[in-house]
Formats: sequence, C-alpha cells, structure tokens
Amino acid sequence: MPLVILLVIVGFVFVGVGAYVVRNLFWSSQGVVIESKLYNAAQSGIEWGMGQIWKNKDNIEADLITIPSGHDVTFLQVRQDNTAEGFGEDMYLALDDLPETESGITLTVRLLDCNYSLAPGVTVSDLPPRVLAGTGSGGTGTPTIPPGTSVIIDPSHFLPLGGGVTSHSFVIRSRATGFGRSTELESMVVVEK
Amino acid sequence: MKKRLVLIAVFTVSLLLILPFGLIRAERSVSAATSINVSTDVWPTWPNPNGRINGMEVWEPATFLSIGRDVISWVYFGTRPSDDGFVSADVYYLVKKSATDGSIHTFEPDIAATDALFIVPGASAIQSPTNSEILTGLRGSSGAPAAVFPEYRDIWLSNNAVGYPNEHFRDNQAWLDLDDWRNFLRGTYSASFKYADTGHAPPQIVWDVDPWLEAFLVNQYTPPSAWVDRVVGIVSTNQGTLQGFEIYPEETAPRAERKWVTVPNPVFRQSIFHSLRKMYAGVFKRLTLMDGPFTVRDVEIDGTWKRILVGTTGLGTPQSVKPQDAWDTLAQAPGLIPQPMPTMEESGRGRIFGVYAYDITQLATTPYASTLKPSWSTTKVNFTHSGRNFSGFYPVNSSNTTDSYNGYSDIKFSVSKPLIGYTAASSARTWHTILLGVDANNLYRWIDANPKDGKNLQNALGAGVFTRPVKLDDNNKIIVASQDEMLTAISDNGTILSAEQVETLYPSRILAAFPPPDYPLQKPLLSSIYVYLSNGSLYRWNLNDGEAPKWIATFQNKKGLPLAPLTDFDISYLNGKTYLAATVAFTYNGASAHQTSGLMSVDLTAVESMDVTDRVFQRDPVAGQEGDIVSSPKNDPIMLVQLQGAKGAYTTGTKEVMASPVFIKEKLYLAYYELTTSKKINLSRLYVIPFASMIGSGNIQKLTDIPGALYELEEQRVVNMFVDSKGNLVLIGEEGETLLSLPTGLEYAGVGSGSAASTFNKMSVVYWKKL
Repeated sequence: MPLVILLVIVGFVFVGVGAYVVRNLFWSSQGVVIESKLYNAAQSGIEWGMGQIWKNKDNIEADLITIPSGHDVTFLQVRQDNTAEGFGEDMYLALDDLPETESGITLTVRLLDCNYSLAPGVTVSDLPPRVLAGTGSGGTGTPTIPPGTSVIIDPSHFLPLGGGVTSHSFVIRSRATGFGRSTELESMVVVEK
Repeated sequence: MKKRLVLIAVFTVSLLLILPFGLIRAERSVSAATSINVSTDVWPTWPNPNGRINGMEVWEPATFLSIGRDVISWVYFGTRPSDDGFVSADVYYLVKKSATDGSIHTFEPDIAATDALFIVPGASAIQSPTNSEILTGLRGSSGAPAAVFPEYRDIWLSNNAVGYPNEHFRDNQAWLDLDDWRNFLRGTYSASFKYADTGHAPPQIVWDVDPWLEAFLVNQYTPPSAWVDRVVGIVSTNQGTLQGFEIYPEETAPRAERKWVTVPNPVFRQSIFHSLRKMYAGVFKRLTLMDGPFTVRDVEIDGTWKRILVGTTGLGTPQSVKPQDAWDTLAQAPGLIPQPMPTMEESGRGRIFGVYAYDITQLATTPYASTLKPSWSTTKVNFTHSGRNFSGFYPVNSSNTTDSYNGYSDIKFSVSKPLIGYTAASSARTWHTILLGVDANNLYRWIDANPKDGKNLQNALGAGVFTRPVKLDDNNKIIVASQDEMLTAISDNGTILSAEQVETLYPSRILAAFPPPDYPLQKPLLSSIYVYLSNGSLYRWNLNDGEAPKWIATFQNKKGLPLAPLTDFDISYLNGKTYLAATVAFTYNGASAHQTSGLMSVDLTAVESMDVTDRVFQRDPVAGQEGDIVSSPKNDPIMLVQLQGAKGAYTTGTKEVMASPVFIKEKLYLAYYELTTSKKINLSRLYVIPFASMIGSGNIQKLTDIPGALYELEEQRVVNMFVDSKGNLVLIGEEGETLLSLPTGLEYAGVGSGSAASTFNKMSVVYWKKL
C-alpha cells in the first residue's frame, strides 16, 4: 500500500513536472511566437519607414531643425520642405497608412530627422544621432566646378556642381506592442546624391 | 467808244466780283496757320529716332549660352521699312523634353490685347491705367517733370484768349487715342508686328532656384516660394516695355503665355512719343527707349531673400526739339505755329537715360501692382537747344530720398548687362549691383550700387573709372603711366565709326567669375569680376577685397584697332591657370572691304606674368586664313581662329555666331553659320577646341588633324546652341530640328525638362538595432 501511495505520489510529481514543463514549453513557445510576431511587425514598420523616406526624399525639409524648449524627440519627425527659410513648425510630412499587422498588435513608427540642433539650455531624451545634412558620411560635401569648365556665375549656367545638400540622414524607430509586450527596432538610413 | 465803255464795265464788274473772294482767301490763309510767339525756354523735346550705323541693320543681341537647361529663348529682328523706321521682333522659345523622348518644341508665345498692363509714373505701378492716370503721370508736377522736358507748361501757346500747353496732356485732350498707345505697348496695334526690337537685350529665362546659391549657401538661401516649379521668360522691347511669359515645358505641347506688360518709370517718360511720332510722320520710328540688358537675381535685402530685376534704358534717347508744326498736325493746337523755333545744338543733343529695378519676389502667375513691384529707378535728362540748357536727375525710391546716387549723372548711356552679386568680408554678405557705362567724355564708368535702392554702397568705391597703368608716349611707344580708359572712334580703310557707334555695335561686357582655386573663400562672390571693354581692354576686379578694377591687358589688331567683343566671354580654370575665351572683331573694313571676326582664347596667367609694357597685344590671324586653322605662335599666350568658311579675303554674306563661347571640361565650344553665295559657302561649324594644348603651340594648327575638334554641317543652318539637362551640346536648325547632339562630359544626377535640379538617387542603411 505505501508503495502504491508512493508510486501515485511520484506519478503526480511526474505529471506535475510534466505539466509544468509542457506548460513552460507552451508559454516559451508562445512567447517566442509573440516575440516573432512583434519583431516582424516592427521590422515591417522599418521597411515602411524606408519606403516613406524614399518616396518623399526630394520633398523633405533640408534646413536645420532647432528643437526649442518644451518639446520632446517627436519634434524631429520629418517635415515637408516649406521652400522658405527655416522649417515650418507644423509642416510634418503627410505619410501613407502604416502596414497592416496581426490583430492585437499595435504598430507605431516615427521617422526622425538627424539634421538638428538644440536651442541653448535645452535637453531632450532619446535623441537620434545628430548628422548634419550636406556633410555626408565623412566628406565635406563642397561643390566643385569641373576643371576646364566655365566659372561664370549665372543661373543660366546650371553646372553639376555636386555638394550642397549631398546627404540627409534619418532614424526610423518602429515599435510593435501587443500581448503585454513590445519590441522596438531602430534603423538609421541616409539618402545621398 | 461804246466798245471801250463795255470793256471798262466788264473790267469793273470782274474786279468787284473777284476781289472779295481773293480777300476771303487771304483771310483763310492767315487763319489756317497762325504764328504765335512763345517762350522757347520750355519748348519741349521729343526723343530722336535712332538712325542706322553705316547703313547697317540692327543686330539681334547674342545670347549667353545656356548650360544644363532644357528651355531657351531668342529673338529675330525685322528690317526697317525706311531709314529711321520701326524695327520689329519675333520672340521664340524652345523646349527639349530631355526627361522623356528628347523631342524639340519651338513656339512663339501667345499674347492678347487683354494682357495685364502696368505703368510706373512714379514710385508705384498702376495696373490697367485709366486715361486720366496716364495723362496725370505724363504731365508730372512742378519741379518733377515726367514726360515733358524741360517742364510741362499748361498755358504756353495762346491765341485769342485760348491757351494751349506745350505738350497737350491735359485730361480733356481729344487728339490722342490712348487706347492706340496701350495696344501698341501690348503689340496688338497692328497685324504687322507684336514686339519692337529688343536692342541690346537678349531675352532671359528665369528659373525657380539659383543653382549657385543653392549649392554654395546650403541652409542659408531661400528661393522665393511664389516661383516654385515655374519657368518664366522675360523680354524687354523698344516699345518701352518689359514683358513676362509663363512657360509650360511639361505639357504635351509646350507653350508660353504672356502674363504682363510693364513700363518702368524712366521709359514711361518717353514711350508715349512712339504714338506722337506715328501721328506726326505716319509711321512708327525706332526709338531706343528700353534698349539695355536686364539681370534677374536673388539677393538679400534687410536680411530677407528677394528676387530683383535691374535693367537700363541702354542707349537711351537723344533729344530733338518738337517739330514746329506738330501742334497743328497733331491737332494739339489746331492752326497755331509757335515761334521762334529753337535749334538743337548738335553737341548738346543730350540724352535721356535711366536705370530701373523691380522686386518680383512675390510675382506669381497672375500679376498685381504689389507683386510686379517697382523698387527704384533713376532718370537722367540733359539737352541744350538755343532756348534752354537743361539737365535734371530724377531718382525714385520708396524713401523718396535723392542722396547717394554718385556717378549716375555722369553716365550718358549703358549697353552692358547690370551685374548683381555679393561680397563677404566676414560672415555677413553685402549685395551689389554693378553698372557699366560711358560718360559724355567717352570715359568708361562703373557704379557700385545697393540693389535695394540703387544708392552707392558706402565702401569708398561708389563710382569710378577704369585706369590703365600704361599709355603711348609721343613716339608711340608704350610707357608706364596712368591713363583712364577711353572709348575711341574707329577709322578703318574708309569705315568710320564714332566712339558711341563703337560701343553700340560692340558693347562692353561685364561678368562675375567664381573665385580661382587658390582664393580662400570658395563661394560665388564678387572676387573676380571681369570687364572686357569695347576698346579691347580687359580688367579683373576683386570687389570682395575692396580693390579697384585692375588692368590685365589690351587686345588690338595689327593696325592698333581694338579686338572688340562681339558676345559675352567666358573664363575657366585649368591646371592652375586662368583662361579667357571671347568672340571678337578682327577688322572693321579689311581687305575686300569687309569685316572679319573670330574666336580668341587667352592664357591670362601667362599674360599677367608679363611686364605691363608688354601687355598691349597686337594680333590678328593671317589675312584670308580659313576657319579650320588655329593661330598661336610658339609660347604666345593668345590663340586666334578666324571665323571664315573659305580661304581668301572676301565679303561675307551672312555670318552669325551662336551664343557666347563656352569652356566645358577642357574643351572650348563655339558654333557659327556662314552663307556667302559668291563663294558657294552655306556652312555651319562647331568648334570643340582643346584650348590648353593649342595655346602657344604654333601658328598653323589644323583643327581637321585633331579628331572631334571641328564639325562641319554643309548646307545646314544652325540657329541656336545650348547644353541640355543631360549635358549634351545641342545645335538646332532652322526647322527646330536637332542638327547635332554631342556629349560634353557634364554628368547630371537628375533630369528635368525645365529646372534640371539634381535629386537624391540612393539610400543606404547605416545601422540597424533592436532597442
């Protein structure tokens, strides 16, 4: 009898452990599945962000963005070129709809301009790396006139001078939230001439 | 006796019948033209019609070669119907659809009798002026004459208690139909013409963005938002108008539409006399009212980016006394002849000359007086007739102040393009408008003005002359001694040109070059202004460092006559050297009684290393040399090519140079066309000269021995040349067809049929991470 009871108890223990293991396995797998789903959603946000930047590459404000006090990093969301001096404070770029995600997952994507400066005394958290437009990834971006070519300064002499705003860097932050978790990815891209 | 009595009776009756009629006729003769004594001190003047020079027609102004653009413009002039008759013009636009199928579209702009018309009688523009506004503007006010010089006198010619003005611009006038003048300005008066000739002013294309400021003033330059994605053509005509055309290069069938016609203040003072002269003589005359080139640039005024247009009246208008019978002929004062008529002193025929500026920053497709906005102007008037010695200077600006216009009163006329640019001694930019003209003593003069109001910039160089450090002594030897540059007459084998005629036919040229590579500031500022005067002298002016213009050299032919410029010139830097290219006159009446001309390229670095006494160069190619030969003696800094289709000395029929010469990637390009029936020449030529290796390499260098240096198109007439937005040099034929398209090596990142703005063309990932 005691042996039977012992066996039953051991059996229960095995069942319990097995159930625990199975449950853990289930939840781990479920976690991995959820993590994968969130990751994929966030990655689709990154891809979407790249597409939006490429689509609007010649219409994005190239002037330096200066963050005043009282604002957070969302102030750096890409703006539409207002073709005037400085940047239009409210001229955020109109973007296409975010990609669809699985039910239960919320996707948030921010496209942030790296061509910025901070107003004196201002601190902002979670800033993207600062890369000024026109400097490229390492060169000076100075326009040059091809040697042995006309140097007469006239708007009707439109030469391929290069330089100017040769490159513009952006950070894409894509956060997928759901099932009590979140996954965030960040990517920096640069558009160049 | 009876017979005698009958004869006496017949005689008496006849006398009684005829005499009264005779008296009446005598009375009628007296009342048809009554001479009235007037005070000649306010006998008004009219602009004098512009005469031919040595029987020559008026030439179309050569265009400045367009690079990297797919829209160009040019004009053709019509011949005069009589010696002082009107010269008409046709305006053309060409669009090349480089971004799509490369097709060429040539067209004239559409105009209408309802196109917006503006006049500028004072500081502001008036849109669609009424008759009263026009006449009020023409009368001017006391101390501020407008169109009547020396002054408007309302009661001047009086008869039987009726007084008439010296120029009948009263509101109640009935002799002048102002609608005729409006239609004349719009070019809708007659089916035989739309535009008067453009004088020395080639048509211009204005783009949305200045590519030099965009490239070199990153984040500091703001082009006007009203001009985004627009292409606008502007033309000035001797009707007295500036006209604006909206060009639509992207449409399936590109077209252009005129949007506005404006009459700047200095021109408003004279333009009405087109109508008066027509009424008097029965035909329109050629009046050089709006004869000078204009320039459009983006500048900073009070810290704000503005787009401004600055132009001059060019030759301006010499004056003559109003004809004595004009009051009767024009029905201003019917039957009245004022006397005594003064006589114009030939030397005091004087001139009305002006400079004008517009602020077109906000000018959109639909113009308004507030957007086609006069900014400032100056008008100088002087003449002498036996009744009056008159001079006046009338600046107009928003502050209504007349100070600080030093130098303007000295300039008699200016047929050179105003130059606009900036200097930057520190980080602050100072913007300049440089004017180049000739004074009454035939000295060349410059003015350095503020684009905001035309006033002298306070940099101690407000106005001045050009001074050469060498001169000819009594033995005709060149010695070191200062001499102010003077415009001189030309006498060549029977061809006589007065000093003014020389400048008229061969206008002096002024352009700004980008700084040389060793200059510390590599920005498009005014460190290297080049001036090529019609007397053959070349100057460089470093205004950025506050210097005066510095003489480089004087170029003459072997008779000592100037190698005067025919078009704008070009400057280039290569391997540490500076080069000039110019199209110049070689002779004015050479062998076989004809003029020759050619292409000149100069190693300016080598020239400036020479002693100043060695820099008066006398060169011309071997007489009768054909145009496939480059002449440049060993180690000589000057290279010449005679633009001539065949060997020998002969009189050319037609010879036309296409635009200014241009340096592109170590080659020098120039195209011309010649038609000489007697020599069976009907030929277009394109030169692609490797200039650096040919200068100083020998007197007889055959271009046909160098592959790709010379293209000859027999029986084909090139009418235009430009470099398109893909970097191809394109020659256009009479039918608008492409005769030749040659890659120049210029590579553009982006293409566009209008503004060839480069675009971002690649994207790459710098990093990726999980947060």
